[in-house]
Amino acid sequence: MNPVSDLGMVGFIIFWGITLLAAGIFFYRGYQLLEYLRLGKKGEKYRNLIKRTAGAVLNLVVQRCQYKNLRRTNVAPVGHLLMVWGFLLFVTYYLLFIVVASGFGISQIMENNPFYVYYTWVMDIFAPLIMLGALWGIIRRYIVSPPRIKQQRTYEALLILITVLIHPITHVGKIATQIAAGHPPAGLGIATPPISTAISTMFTNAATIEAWHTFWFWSHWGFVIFVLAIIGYTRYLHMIAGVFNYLLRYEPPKGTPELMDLNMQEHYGAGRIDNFTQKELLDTYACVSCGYCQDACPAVATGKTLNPRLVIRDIKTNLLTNGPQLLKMNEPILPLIGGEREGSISEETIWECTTCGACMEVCPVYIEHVREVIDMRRYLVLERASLPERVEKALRSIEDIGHPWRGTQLSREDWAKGFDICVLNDGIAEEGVEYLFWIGCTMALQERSIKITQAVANLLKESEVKFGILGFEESCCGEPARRFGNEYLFQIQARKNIELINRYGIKKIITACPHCYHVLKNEYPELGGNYEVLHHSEFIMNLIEEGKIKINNQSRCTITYQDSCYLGRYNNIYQPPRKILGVMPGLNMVEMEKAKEQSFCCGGGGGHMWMERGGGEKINEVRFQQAIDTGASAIATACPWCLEMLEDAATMHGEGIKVLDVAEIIHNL
Amino acid sequence: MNIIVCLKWITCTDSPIRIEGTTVNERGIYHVINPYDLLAVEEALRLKDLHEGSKVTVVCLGPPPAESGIRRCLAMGVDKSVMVWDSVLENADSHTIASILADIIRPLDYDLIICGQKAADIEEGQVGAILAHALNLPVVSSVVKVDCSTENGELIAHRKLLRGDRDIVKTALPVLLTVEVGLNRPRYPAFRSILIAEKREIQKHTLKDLNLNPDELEAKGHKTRIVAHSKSRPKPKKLFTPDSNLSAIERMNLIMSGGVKKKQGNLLEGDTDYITSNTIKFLSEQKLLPDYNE
Repeated sequence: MNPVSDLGMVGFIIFWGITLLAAGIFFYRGYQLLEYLRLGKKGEKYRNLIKRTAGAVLNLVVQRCQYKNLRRTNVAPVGHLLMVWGFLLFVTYYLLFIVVASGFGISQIMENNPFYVYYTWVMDIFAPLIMLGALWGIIRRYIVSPPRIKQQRTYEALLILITVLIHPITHVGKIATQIAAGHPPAGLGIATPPISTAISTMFTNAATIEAWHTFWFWSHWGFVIFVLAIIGYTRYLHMIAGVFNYLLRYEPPKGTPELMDLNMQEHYGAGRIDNFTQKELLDTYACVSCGYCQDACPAVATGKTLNPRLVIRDIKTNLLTNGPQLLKMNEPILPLIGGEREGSISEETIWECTTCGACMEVCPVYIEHVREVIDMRRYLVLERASLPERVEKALRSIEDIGHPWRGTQLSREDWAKGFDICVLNDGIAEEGVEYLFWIGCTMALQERSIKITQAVANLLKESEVKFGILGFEESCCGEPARRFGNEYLFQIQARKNIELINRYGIKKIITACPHCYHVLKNEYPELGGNYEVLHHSEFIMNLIEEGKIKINNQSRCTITYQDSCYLGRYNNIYQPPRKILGVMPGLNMVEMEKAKEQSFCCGGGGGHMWMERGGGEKINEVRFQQAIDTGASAIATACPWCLEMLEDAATMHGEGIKVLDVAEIIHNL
Repeated sequence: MNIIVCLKWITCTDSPIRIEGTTVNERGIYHVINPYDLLAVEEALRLKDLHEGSKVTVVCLGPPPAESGIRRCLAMGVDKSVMVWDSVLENADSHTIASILADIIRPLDYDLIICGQKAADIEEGQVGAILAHALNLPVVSSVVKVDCSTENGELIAHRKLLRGDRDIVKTALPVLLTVEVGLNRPRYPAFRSILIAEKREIQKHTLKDLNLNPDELEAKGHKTRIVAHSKSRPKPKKLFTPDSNLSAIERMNLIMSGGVKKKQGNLLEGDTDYITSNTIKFLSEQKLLPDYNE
């Protein structure tokens, strides 16, 4: 029984007519989107494409992308998993048993084998599960919805969910009528699909069964090709773009901006939609507007204008609006930066980002929002030279005096007075100096942070580590400049430092600043600086494990730990600081609700240490509140910026909460 | 209009300065273009943008590293640059510097010369005035606002006096201005212009090229001589508590200003509506207006 061939030639014409029409729409849109994508800059060269493809397929099948957002408070990914797995099963079915079998009139051959029987059996089980998933989606969206979804009760989302909900019904109807008509997909000694069989008993009128079967078949196929046709026009697109986005994801390290070629070029950074790389544009196709990023973003949580979801949406809208114009070699009609409409991003928004990377961490389709933000900042700084006064001052300070803390009374060697520390110098032979202790601007020039530096230096001396410092010769690592979008200044600073470090023949570096750490470890290799870089928390943990540091801290208190974004999310160092705290006998370690991968930024990243706060609440105060909500009476950090930001909040909302670096805690509290 | 700006390459006051006798220990010291001179460059460029066909030339008596500072000015949009150096200039006093500058500038074609009010490092504030004298030009000092029209060759400059008062001076061109903080915000050069500036030519001269004899200069000696340096009176520390409600950056500013809050001026600037409404508000706050019953 085959509703297509039963109608004879007309059946085939209708079947192939509508199928090819839908496929035509699908491919036309696909071609159009690809053309827009090709407007972007050629991105990086990919190695290991085979491995990557395998990884992407594996991820598609096991849906690893879903688990990272699976929490006790959020089980939505389960619903999505049901839909995805069901969908994958169904797609295979469509291809084999509808397009090939019905379309070519060879159902008899295709369906007379155990595979078909098993397959329909499994699908029968999955059909209600898909419906469950879709139903759950609808309920979550319209009845019990978290805020991130409430904003998105669009017709588009409803349309998608309804198509997902209905098409398993039509499938089951089709199989059930088939069974009722006496052609069950069994007969090989295997039981008929349970659910369809149960439903088939409802079709008792033999005269109408044939008609019902025809109805279900065509409505089923109609739905399927309708979805095929709208894929390119709706968020269904993420099924395809998401897979490719994972396949073409940037090589780690995470959050590292692209190394810019600083020779004369037509444009610097992204000020027009076609200045983005193709991968960055693909990001926007992959976006499902799920809103996980906006939930994770500290700027959104404190009511600022930045919303990572909207940034991606605006880039996409801009691409779709300007794409046809740019293909015709016309000027874009919608500005990327500074326009009023949807599809434009304001300068203020671009400066709000703290580059904490929380959005990238939670994104189920592996979008790298921070790269895009930095690309736009590069445009603002390098091309348009339009930057907030504070940013300009910090950048000038780095240019003029090699650090962003203009106005400090301290010098880079002041903290070391009375410490008898080897300052690496051209005159001195550096024999026996194994490690360079890279201090960093904040750690050397801010009064509060100096105490951390001294604590670390004490620990290193206590455990007889042979180390030296660069003293006056040290210069800003370039991290703030790079996050501000001034790639030129970053490269100047980086090259200067690399030359210096290489001159002293140093291979191992310890640093107490996660921002320096990230840059030295992950961003200097591209410029020729390959070092083994250790964060002080890692190094101290090793020293403790080797028994070189005696713990004599007997104070008792409840303490919580603030994960630095650049240490945690960027470099996966979550355990060493926690282990150090765990070693102290009197410390009762409690975790904040947002910890480790989901940690909430202190508000100092992305150069915000030197910027005036925008609208809304202060990020550091919000984070401080989260910290004291745990009941902790002290906050440990492993980053001088986190420490400073949280201490700011602590002096304001006081209550005697101490903010200390893990290195300081070892000897006193 | 041809504008000439004089630049000084100074010790950055934000670097850790340790004084040893009459010199400063060079370890850890950074050098920059005098920030007052950057204001002068910006003002020159602003006037250049207003008057078509203008040219801005910078002149710097500075050591070879000063080239980076000159390149920054070129990146900002300066058309021409002249750099003069000789080791005898190392300890030259204001008078010597000004007279050499005069020798350099005299043959050039100029309508306006702009200098910084003083150098941020030793704050003598002499060169501008002596240079004007040497060139026989009028000088307007402490300028915080410039209006210039080339048609009638006139320039109106606002001088900064004490307590927010202003002295408005009208003068004929050519003239020499020394400029004060508050005049403008020097532009941040776009990267493209930095790249172009890297390749631009800087006219480099020695004193001999200018028909000046360095030995003679040295023999003549200086009219002033530095006897000793001392650090400025330490800023009062811990006399104030920065408001903990402020962000780190705001507190940093407060500390840098020595805890003095900016004085609230009562000079109103803006459109008529704004000025009128605020004047009425002020008068009624001071109870100087009769009450109107509605």
